[in-house]
Amino acid sequence: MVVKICLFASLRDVVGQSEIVIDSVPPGNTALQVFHRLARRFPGLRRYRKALLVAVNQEYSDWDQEVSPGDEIAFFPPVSGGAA
Amino acid sequence: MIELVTTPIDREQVVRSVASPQAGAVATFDGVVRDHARGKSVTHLYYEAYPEMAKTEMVKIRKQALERWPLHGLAIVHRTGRLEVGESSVFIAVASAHRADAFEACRFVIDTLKTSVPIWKKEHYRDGEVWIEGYGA
Repeated sequence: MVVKICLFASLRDVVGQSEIVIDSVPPGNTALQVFHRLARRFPGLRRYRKALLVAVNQEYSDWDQEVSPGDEIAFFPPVSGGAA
Repeated sequence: MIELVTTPIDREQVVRSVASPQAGAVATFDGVVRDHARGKSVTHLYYEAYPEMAKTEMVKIRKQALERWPLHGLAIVHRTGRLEVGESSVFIAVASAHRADAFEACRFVIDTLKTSVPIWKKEHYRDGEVWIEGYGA
């Protein structure tokens, strides 16, 4: 099935593009499996994995959420926060 | 008013948008680009958003604040793209009958925004640039 992946900030710099369409995702795959699939193409992503957040269709999501055809899956770094 | 903009924020307009005859207090927060960070001189910043989701998250924060405090108006405007030192990156205005609610809600909005709204900044220095990301937070 086809999903759209969106990348931001340092992740976008690693991959070199902000959107990637992947058309070979098996049904039932989780957000984490999609990330690993992407990381096989872009190994530079691997070191970010533990710190990343994921959103499915623009809502914060769990890594074990199953994705559906046409979903928009975003991987991104935590928001910067800033000193209060 | 919840907006993501790429041009300078019109602060007066944001304040006017929350004005109400019932509001005796308007608290504002202005997030301004600073000329230094981490011991380095900052030449300018670049803000990048996940625009649709950033707007959704800002709407959620506004809703939470309106549920928690008796407010008459609440506006959040965030700017993205290249910003120079002294320019506003985010401006918040909160109106309530009395000042305590406006102050508290304004603080809640900026603190929550900084952890949940998908907007990142890149600091540019004379000798390089770095994404400021909340790893380990």
